[in-house]
Amino acid sequence: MVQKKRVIAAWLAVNLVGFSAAAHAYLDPGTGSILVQSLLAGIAGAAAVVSLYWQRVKAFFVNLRKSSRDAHSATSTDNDGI
Amino acid sequence: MPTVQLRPTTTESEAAIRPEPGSFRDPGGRIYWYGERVLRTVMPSAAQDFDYVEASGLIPKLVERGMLIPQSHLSLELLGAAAGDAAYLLEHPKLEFISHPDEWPFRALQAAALLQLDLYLAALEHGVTLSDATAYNIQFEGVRPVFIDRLSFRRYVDGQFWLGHRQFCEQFLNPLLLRALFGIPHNAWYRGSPEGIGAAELSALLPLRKKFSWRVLTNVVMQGSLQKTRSSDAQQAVASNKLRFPKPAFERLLRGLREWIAELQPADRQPTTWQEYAGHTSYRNTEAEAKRKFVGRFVSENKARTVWDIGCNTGDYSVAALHAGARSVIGFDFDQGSLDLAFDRARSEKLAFTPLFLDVTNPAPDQGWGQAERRGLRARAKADAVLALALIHHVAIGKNVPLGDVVGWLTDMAPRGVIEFVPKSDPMVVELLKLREDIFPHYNEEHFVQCLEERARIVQSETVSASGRKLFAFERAVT
Repeated sequence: MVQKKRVIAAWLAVNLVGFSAAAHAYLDPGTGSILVQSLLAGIAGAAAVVSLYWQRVKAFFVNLRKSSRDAHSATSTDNDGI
Repeated sequence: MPTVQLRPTTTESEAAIRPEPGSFRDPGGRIYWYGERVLRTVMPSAAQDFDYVEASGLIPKLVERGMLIPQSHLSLELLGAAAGDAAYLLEHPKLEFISHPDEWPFRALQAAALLQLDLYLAALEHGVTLSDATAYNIQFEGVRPVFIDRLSFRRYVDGQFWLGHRQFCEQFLNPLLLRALFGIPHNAWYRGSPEGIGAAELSALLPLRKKFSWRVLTNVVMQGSLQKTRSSDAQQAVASNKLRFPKPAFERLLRGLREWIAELQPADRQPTTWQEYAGHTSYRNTEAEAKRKFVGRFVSENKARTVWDIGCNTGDYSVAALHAGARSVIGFDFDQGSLDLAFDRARSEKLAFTPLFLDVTNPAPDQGWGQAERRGLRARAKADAVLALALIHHVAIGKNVPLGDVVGWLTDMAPRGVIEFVPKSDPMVVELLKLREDIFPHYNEEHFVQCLEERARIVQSETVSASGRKLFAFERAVT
């Protein structure tokens, strides 16, 4: 259990590198809360990455279909041109 | 910044300045009492943030929407030496009554939690966040929550964590979940633990099946278990500020909590004893009507502006007092179901009525640091009049408190009031004595009148039921 927690915490620590202002922290935010927020940020980040790649995958297929349609319509035009 | 010039400080007025003992945690400023006026200093450490928030345009919007207590700027000279090196001085209107979250019914804590989240969401739109999320920063005007700490608003830095998340969970979410998941009111636990209910404590109570909800898992279970994490990696990452919490994730967390909390309902929603009591057969409509009239006449004749209704039930006589001209009524009861109904009623009828939880035999003591941080009920009692209808038998017979002591407690509460005496022949008293020995030979009207006359002057009395229930209006010298 402890080992598992350590792995989660390490994952969070390594995964989310950036900048954060701890200004005005007269209040102790608590390790639990910070780690949960890091997890939520990680999930949001992962969702953004997945969404970005999904857009790319989608765009690839859309383009593929478009280009095949273009090719098809180009052929048709050629045919019409006969 | 516009300032109001006031008369120069004199030795006499300096003596009237005293720091509020409950305002010491945030070094960014402090509340001072100047006689009956409420002043707030802003220290140089918080001045830059204060200016930023003023310039953001957020404050007037929140004040206009009734979410934040108004503020005006004063000259620092007013505080004299007490101002120290303060950068600014503000004045806020004095509140009628300060209540604490352990006195709030479920609905009040829920309304306060939603206000706290709405403040965060509104603030973030203006590039502002809050430094904390303590329930003690929220007070009630009627049943409308209002935020009272201007200094909680600070500049938001992109990627900054929600520093008040843990406090929000401990002081709002977890106490609400206690009632919503288990049907246990938060009041007793909150009284003993003024900082709220910890995530690990609540998590330990949860059965496994309740831990699978994503919201419970993240905000309660994980927060509770990770709080105890001693992993050096995590601690180092937190300490070195290498983690960030993007604004969209922050807003999503706030909205998720808002949606969740708005839907929470007490798990024990079946009618409780006192809700049934309101429609009890021994409690005929003509009797209730006679009592309402007596209370109304008493309030209007005495021009009572602030009234405390001890044992308010769902608020029938509080409403009668308001209709007779009282400006505000604070109602107290120990029955959660009645308080929830009273709160809903005050909200739907837009009444200046605040129903609060009180066990008469165990009122709030002075609590917190130096036993001065959160003042007990007696120190906060400043009502013009007190109402105690259908109460005295529950305390004198139900709790064995000597009749004279009950009368003394009530007459101490306000210089005038109405007390109902319920005789032993009344069905409600018969019920109280059904399973126990009658050890109250002196519980009778004659002794009650004697006790009351030792402390006050009886100005009016009226029998309101066939069983011999009688209302007494009293008046005593103002101390």
